[in-house]
Amino acid sequence: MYNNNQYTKTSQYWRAVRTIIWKDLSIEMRKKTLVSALLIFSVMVTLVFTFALDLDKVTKDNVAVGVLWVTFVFSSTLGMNQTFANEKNQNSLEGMLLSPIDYTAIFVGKFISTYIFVIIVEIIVVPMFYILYGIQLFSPLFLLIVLLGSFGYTLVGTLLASIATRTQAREIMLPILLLPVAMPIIIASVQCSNAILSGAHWGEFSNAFNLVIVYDIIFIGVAIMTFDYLIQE
Amino acid sequence: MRLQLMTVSSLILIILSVYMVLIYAPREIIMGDVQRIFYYHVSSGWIAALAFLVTLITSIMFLSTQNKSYDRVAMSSAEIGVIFTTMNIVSGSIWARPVWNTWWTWDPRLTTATIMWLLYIAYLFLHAGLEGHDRRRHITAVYGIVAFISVPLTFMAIRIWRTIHPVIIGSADPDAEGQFDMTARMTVTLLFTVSTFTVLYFTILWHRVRIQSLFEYMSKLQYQMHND
Amino acid sequence: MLLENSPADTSNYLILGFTILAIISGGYCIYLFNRFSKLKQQVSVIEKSNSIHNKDT
Repeated sequence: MYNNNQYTKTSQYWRAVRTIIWKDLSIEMRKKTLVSALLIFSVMVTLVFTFALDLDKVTKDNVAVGVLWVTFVFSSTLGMNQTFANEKNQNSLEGMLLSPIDYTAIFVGKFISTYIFVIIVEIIVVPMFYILYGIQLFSPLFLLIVLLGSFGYTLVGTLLASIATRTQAREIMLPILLLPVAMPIIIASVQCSNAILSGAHWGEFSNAFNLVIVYDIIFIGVAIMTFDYLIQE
Repeated sequence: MRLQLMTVSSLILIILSVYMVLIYAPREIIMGDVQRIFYYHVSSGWIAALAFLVTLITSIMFLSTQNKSYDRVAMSSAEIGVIFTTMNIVSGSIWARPVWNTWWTWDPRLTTATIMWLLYIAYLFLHAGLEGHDRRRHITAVYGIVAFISVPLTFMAIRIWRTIHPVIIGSADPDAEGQFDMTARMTVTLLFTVSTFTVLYFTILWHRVRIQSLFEYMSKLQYQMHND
Repeated sequence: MLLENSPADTSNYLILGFTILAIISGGYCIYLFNRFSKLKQQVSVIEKSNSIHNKDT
């Protein structure tokens, strides 16, 4: 009847992850609140910067990448607050903790669904920037660094959101916890994107690029090791 | 009482250190009088590191013994460390203005110092924001341990990366601006100021821990009162 | 040499630095002292009302 493979630990793990992702995505597809909020917010931020920094072409090119990352950072933070806030509001977190799954599966599921929302925002924002700022953003290396940088940022954000959601002032606690931890990857991503877009050769931005990758790997490890402990408190 | 003795000694030492810094220490030729800030700039930096080290050790002790006194000391020390780090960053910025011609730059040392500062400010928010259930204090303790990584990183930053920040103890960085060699009188003044700040740190720590105990006692009383 | 002014001018910055350091450290000490007095007062109020409350029950 049931072959043994159906209940191996690995398949159970990934099934739990898929369930969580599917849950978050289907809630979102029905209500459409989160993605629309993120999109409106990022469009607003972009337009405000466009008006505020109505500058000559050269200066505009210089600030464009910074503004792009600011937009990503602000929108992602908004998205990450929602991730665990919904769980808290519905008390579904206890339900998840009581079910017989590996707790890190909760983290991976939450992270992937948040990252999907972040990518959707990026898909809209990057072409918008191309139109408004006129810089060639469709170089594959640039898109790679956007994905890797937001990967790391979403990673630490999801991890810290699980702590922040337990406090009383949870919307303000996440940015407070997140900013110092995320500073290295934001700085490295911005420097790297700037260098890539201004056509620098590999040697000039290899340090920043390596930092992003190392950061991502380190925090995958940190998240997996600590999430069990954090979520049980 | 010993605490009163320490408080009085701290005040006396501070007054003496002001004399040492302003009068006894020699005037640096190139930078002029603003260099005198160096004594307080370096001392507050080292004492901040000491404070965060105390937070690290007491957080570890709290996790292993569950004794709440350790958590109180950890939090008090972190708060004092943030104050000293603020003094460090501000004095550094004021010193930098005439010497580097800018109030701030995103140099490795300044960036890591800012990260360290923000990390411990976040620790203070976290400690205040989590209700004092014992299990939740564990999260704060773990954070206090992990955050310490930023401290040696900040201190080694001038030796790992190329930086504009001067390296006074050890070999000089060719890119550094504001570099100077210390004379004997300067070394004596520096040691005196560091000792003063150490005594000051322990004094304020003791006061702060007392306040924290009193605060937790009051919270307990209020809780009991509301539950009667 | 990076300074445009002669060395004597930097004493303004020294005074600025000392002032701000004094404000930060002095302000923190004053804050601690205020907190201590307020807590002492609150604790004595609660303890008094508790003893009255206990006398009633």
